Amino acid sequence: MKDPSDGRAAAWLSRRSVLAVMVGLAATVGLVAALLATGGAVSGQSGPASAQAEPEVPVEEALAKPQTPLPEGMPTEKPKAIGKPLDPLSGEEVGYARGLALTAAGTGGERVDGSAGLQYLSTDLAESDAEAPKRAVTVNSYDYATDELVTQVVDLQSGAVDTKRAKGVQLPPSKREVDTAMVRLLADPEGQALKDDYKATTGVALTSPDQLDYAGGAWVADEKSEGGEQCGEHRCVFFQIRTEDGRGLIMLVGVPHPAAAKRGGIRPGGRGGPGPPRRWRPALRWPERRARARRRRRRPRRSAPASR
Amino acid sequence: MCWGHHSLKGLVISKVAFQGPKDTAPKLILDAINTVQMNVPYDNGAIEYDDVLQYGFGGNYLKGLDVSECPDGELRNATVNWETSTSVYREEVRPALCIREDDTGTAYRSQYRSNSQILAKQGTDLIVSATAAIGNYEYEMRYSFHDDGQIDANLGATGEAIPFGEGYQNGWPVGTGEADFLMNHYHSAVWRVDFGLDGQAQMKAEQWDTAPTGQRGSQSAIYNTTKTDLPTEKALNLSNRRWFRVLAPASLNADNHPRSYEFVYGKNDPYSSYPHLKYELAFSQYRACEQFPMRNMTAVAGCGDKTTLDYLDGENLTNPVAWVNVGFHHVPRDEDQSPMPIHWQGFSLYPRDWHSNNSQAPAVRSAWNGRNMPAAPTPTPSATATATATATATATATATATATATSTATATPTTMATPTTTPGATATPTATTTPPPAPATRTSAAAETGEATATLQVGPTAARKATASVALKLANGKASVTVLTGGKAAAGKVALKVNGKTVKTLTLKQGKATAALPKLRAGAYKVTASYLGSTTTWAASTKAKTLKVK
Repeated sequence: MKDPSDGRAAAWLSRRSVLAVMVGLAATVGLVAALLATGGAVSGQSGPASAQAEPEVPVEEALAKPQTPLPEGMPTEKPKAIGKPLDPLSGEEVGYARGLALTAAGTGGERVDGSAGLQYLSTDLAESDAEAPKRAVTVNSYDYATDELVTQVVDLQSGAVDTKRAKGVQLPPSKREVDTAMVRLLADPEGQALKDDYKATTGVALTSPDQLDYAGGAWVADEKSEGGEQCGEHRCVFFQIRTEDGRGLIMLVGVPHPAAAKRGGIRPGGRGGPGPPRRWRPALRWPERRARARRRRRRPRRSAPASR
Repeated sequence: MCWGHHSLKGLVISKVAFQGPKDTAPKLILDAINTVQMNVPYDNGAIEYDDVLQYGFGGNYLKGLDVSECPDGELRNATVNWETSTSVYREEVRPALCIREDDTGTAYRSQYRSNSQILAKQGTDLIVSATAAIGNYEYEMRYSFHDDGQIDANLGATGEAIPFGEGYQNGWPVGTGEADFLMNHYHSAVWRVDFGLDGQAQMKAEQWDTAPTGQRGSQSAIYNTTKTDLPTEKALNLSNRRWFRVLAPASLNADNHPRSYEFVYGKNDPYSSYPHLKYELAFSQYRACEQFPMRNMTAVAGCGDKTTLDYLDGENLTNPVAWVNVGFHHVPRDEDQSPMPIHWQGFSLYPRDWHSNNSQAPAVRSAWNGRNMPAAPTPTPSATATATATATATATATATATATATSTATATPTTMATPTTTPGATATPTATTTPPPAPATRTSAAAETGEATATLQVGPTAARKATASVALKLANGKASVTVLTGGKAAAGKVALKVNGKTVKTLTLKQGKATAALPKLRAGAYKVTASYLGSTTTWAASTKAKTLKVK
């Protein structure tokens, strides 16, 4: 295949190759790194993060509604029966834990739609001490105001909540975040590559996320990543996208914070596929980029790929 | 054994205990085992996925399975809940876990001269599996627990591969000519294995190496084997004739040997571009917050965003967690196109000195230990096999069930006898098999009684069901159905189908049911009888019989 860096990217895309774009979900920095890269697998078939999972509400309409602190219809009463330490969590236990976690978190924080509160991510059975097993739930959220992961361990018996915060740890995004990033991407000039690929593949214009089957993962840069260096300090979504009938499309990354949207949202990253880096790199004009990269290098972080 | 699901780890198996046929109680082996990474970088350096850490093998990615995906097994439900984009709570109960028992072929075979005896046994394993679908890849998390205590952990990858390679330097042509390439990529799978051998608080790890001395004995080269203790946390590499084990020094078998489990690897190509993936194995001391080999997903102070190598900070190793890394570099083939055939990567854990001899040995051999080899009592032709078959079925009160697998050497329907389990007591199989007609050729006594047994400790309802044989006769406008299970009349219902549509549902009486066929126009019809199954017997159908109506 020819190197698209020489300007033949369109041809390359029309061959249904895979292109990845990352949309950063930056809170405080406007940057939002978008990384264009080729390759890889594509999208989430009927996954939760898939637009098709909830077909009754079009994505853009869903995002117009502000999030609520707790989802509608979730039980929050203390369950009559609390499971044994290793039993799978029941819906009642999850709801009860989320209610307690919300109370413990108090006010403050910011969600991806700009509303006040913590962005809910996931709940899991908490790791239990083998000698003194407890029935506890880990409630994971993200605070866009401070760019922190918020982990709350809720003891289901006592109702005690232990809250911890950390920067630089990015759990997989919620459906709301994934949808937000996709809408942001399609509204951004960076989304053109995806639209072109969709048109070439299906013959139909891509106008709405509802036409796609997509999954979004948490993307984190490392010391050698080109483009999207802020991903990790900020929240970025890495898409796997395909048509509804399973044909692979380009993949993209984005960030769904309102502040980012005002500043133009998504920018191309330089990490691209067989060529895009060279082509896209001139677009990378992040004033803080070098300083941030230097700062990150000083901090021992995740394992760095030795050669990539 | 317990199973659960975690948003990132997917299927989590915990409190794995094993009870051999002659053990009076199960003994704990593992506190937990689960996947913790599936890293997929593509060879052109332009894209990398981490399907566990970026997406997760659980939550809504954990899929419900169709019954056809769990043949002769049982599906167990998982409750998955999530929040929609519109802040609506959703909860779904999905058949996410498949539990089934499978044959593993020859467990052992030994032939000796007196009475032309063959000591032979077919093995079985209990398989638990679940599937996560993330983007184009679908991963099967699969754990096999063998009747002899062996444990296999495997990850299968299937789904779709998308052509975007550039040439032979990083791909393989899959379309016509050399236009469309599938790109080569890595799959690095990491499992976190939390040992709890016999519930002991003090465990140890060892490395054993065998090397040629360079000297020759009278017939062959001389090799020496040496042990290296691993008293502290360490990352390790494989080498020829090198193996590792975790042992519980205070848990001794009847020979006074410490019980242990050994790591057994197949082909392994570690990914050299991530420091922690350069090692096939690392041992760290158990820490609750150390859960992932990279980007450790926790907000616990000082523990988040770490790698396995960060965990290895010189602690004494008494409660080891093993990080098992199995790398697979996939160079796709034409055949890897949609849907891509599943490819597997994994490892095994073998019991080493868990018992003082072969835990599966038949009665005539179960006392053999070292040079102590008592002679077998002179067997009558049928007595040997009976002793072999019945000595091993046990059950305990701790939610275990005993599954008896049957193998026969004949073409008649195989019968799976389901033993009655009495809590805390030895159980005797009640549904005994009626020996099939003796084949014309010489068979061993074992084959004549048609039984070889295997005992597995599994969930309370995982006992193996029997298979029914269904016979259908059409005569004089009537259909007569006979259903046998283990040679005995089966109870339950039978659906009578004409051209695939159920026309009547009949209740079996003493294994038989007869009904008049509906009035049919002239023509040819396919008639089948389907036994609907019971709590102890699988559903089964006849082949279609052609009915001609004039």
